[in-house]
Amino acid sequence: MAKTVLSFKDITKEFPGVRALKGITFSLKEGEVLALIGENGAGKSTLIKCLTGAYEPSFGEICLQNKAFRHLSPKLAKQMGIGAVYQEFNLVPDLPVVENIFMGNLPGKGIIVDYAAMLSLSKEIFNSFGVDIDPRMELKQLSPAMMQIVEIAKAIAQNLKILILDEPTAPLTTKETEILFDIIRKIKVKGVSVIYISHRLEEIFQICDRVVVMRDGEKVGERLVCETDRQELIRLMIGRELTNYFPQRRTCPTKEVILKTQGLWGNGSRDITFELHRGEILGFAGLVGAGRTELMSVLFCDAKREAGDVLVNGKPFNGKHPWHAIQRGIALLPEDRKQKGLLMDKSVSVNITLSSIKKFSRFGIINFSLEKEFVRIYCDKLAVKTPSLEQPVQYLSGGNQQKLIVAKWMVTDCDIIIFDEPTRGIDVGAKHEIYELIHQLVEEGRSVIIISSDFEELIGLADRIAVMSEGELVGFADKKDYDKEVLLDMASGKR
Amino acid sequence: MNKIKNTAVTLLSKCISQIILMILVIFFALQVKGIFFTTTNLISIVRQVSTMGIAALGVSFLMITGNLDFSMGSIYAFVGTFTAILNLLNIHIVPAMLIAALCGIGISCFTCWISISFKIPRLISSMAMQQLINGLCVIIAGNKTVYGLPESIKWLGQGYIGIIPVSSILFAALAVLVAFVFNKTYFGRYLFAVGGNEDVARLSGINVNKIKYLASIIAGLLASIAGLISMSRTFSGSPYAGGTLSTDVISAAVLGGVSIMGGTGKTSGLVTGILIIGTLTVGLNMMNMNANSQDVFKGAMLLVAVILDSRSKGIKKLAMRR
Repeated sequence: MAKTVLSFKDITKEFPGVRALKGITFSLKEGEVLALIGENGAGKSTLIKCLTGAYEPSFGEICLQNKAFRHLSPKLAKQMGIGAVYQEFNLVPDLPVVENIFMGNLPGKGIIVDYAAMLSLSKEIFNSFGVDIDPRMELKQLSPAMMQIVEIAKAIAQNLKILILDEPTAPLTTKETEILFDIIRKIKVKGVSVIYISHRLEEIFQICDRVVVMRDGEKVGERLVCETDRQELIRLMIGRELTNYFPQRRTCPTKEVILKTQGLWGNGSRDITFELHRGEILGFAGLVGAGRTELMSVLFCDAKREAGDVLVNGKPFNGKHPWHAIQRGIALLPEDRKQKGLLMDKSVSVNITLSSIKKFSRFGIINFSLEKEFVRIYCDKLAVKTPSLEQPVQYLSGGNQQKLIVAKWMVTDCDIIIFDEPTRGIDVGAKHEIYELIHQLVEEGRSVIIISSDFEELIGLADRIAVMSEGELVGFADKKDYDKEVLLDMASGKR
Repeated sequence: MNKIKNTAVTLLSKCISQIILMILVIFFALQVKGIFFTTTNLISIVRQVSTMGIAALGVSFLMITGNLDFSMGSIYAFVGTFTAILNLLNIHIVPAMLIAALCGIGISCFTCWISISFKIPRLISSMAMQQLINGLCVIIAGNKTVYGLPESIKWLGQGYIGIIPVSSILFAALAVLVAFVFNKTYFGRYLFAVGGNEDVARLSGINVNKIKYLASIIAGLLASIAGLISMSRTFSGSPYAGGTLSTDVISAAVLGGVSIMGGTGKTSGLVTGILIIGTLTVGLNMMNMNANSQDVFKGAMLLVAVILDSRSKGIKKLAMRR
């Protein structure tokens, strides 16, 4: 029986007006990979912050190596061998890999840094991972996946006992995910325990031993991975049965071509030709960096088109700026909602009418009651959960934020809606709502383009899938021929 | 208990500039008894801050779109000097004022063009312009103050309607107008959107560059008007009139809660900020503090304001966190 390295005892965390954690108790064994899952706002990150010393629990204690702590400071947590790798990297792009690994922990005597020791140590770590990274390279030359490995190496170099991985696979391709899993298996053998946070349930079955499910600040379940299944985990997470993960299509795409591109070049896209029909959901599959986002920014006129034609509703479209695209009914929901989709500190109302405020104005003066009326209608229609229309959007959940952006384009009357990774960072229950929403849009006669790195999401949603690789469109798949393996092969460039 | 504390914190962060103003007024009222807190003196404060206030209204358009501009003082000095020179060249004072004001707007737009075309922060391009225009201004004025203005323009800077100075009425009217533009028009909404997050504004279909140019035109116009009022008050065109105006207007705006990062700000706060600077100047003068010590004081004030600006965001976040 492996010994226990960490146990939470009745951890409670209170913020003004809310109890974010309610008596969490569970433990972690040596060399174990424990999945921590739950919807956004379930309290996962709060718990992790208690462990890394960022927060002080209001009540309860954390036991590490048989020592009980009322609370940990970041420094103490580090000393006790706790390391975390978050979605946002904590690395310096301009420095060599090796210096990133030993950042704040440079080996050497006095003021002299022992560079050779650093090099050999980092090489050793990479060798043990089975990856080939030259530690002298500048960090920015690496792919996101390799940067993630550097992050892990950095944690390992500090004599790590417990590694926390927060959504580590979000920026990774399938192949890179495999490499990461291999590394996890290797460090596990060395006796390092891992707390693994992910929204992708299939990963939990691949890599984890045990799973703790949280909901509304409470632990609602603890299972051995081999004794549970996807359905049960989803039920525990959202507190109800989710019978159909992907909703059933109630309408069919029409034959009417609403958007057509012919030999489109620009922003890294090469010779793109495709058609989008009214009422269709067209998926764009590909690996990270396949040029899908770049293509869409050309369509949305946010990047320069070098050659080729675009027809909207049969008429040529030669816009130069996003507002030209919007005038012709093209809308884009960017991948990075917080940085590019919403004014985070502005209200729900302001965000929803941002693109259409002129419609609510006479002689430049806003008609506030008309604006409010429209905002209310769309908030009801999309079931946006917000305490008031004046609430700054940064305090809403990811799912609700995404709905606001959809509402914005619905008010603007756009009929070609491009979603770039619409469900990234959104929890399971809200994902389902977004899928329903996309169906609602096409049922109203709009057309939808979805970029997603989640092949299952595209297979479940799209009427047709276009596959891109290295800036080129390498093929289409119809609904009846969907096959994850084939799509993956196409996306990897194997035709 | 926590709720009360949160409400108090939010209230405090909202009214911090008003509280500072009140403290200052009480302080000076006690320090210089019988002189400070008199109608004549208070009106004189309002009159003195009017020119700076109008320029600050202008610079707030730029600050809200996320563009710090340090060249307002040079436009202010240039417009007055240039009008006086044109007047000496036998050009009627009205067209002279118009031409000079157009130049003021032109300077502001040029600064904007540089920062957009060459992707230089306006903070930098405006600092270069400030120096350039100041130097140019001294050269064309022949290194001296230009006199010889007609009597007819005196009313602008020196006239009164009842007991209220004309310039103060103009300032009040412009402040109301600016508040209206910020809060009630879609142009105001666009200004805040561009300052809040340029990417979001652009991807929402807002013509970001057009908004920036419009803000520059307004800022240039208001700095020009302020310059003309100052010219009328001193009855001369001085190439040195700008002085510390460029930083004073920014201090006033920041003190009034206009964020240096863009995206937030209120006209009421701005006016309070201007009154703080005005009260401070007059009060310190009355206490016989010399100009250099006043600069130290004002500089410290700007530091405090900027710190409050960055802190208040933290405070708000704390209060809003559920």
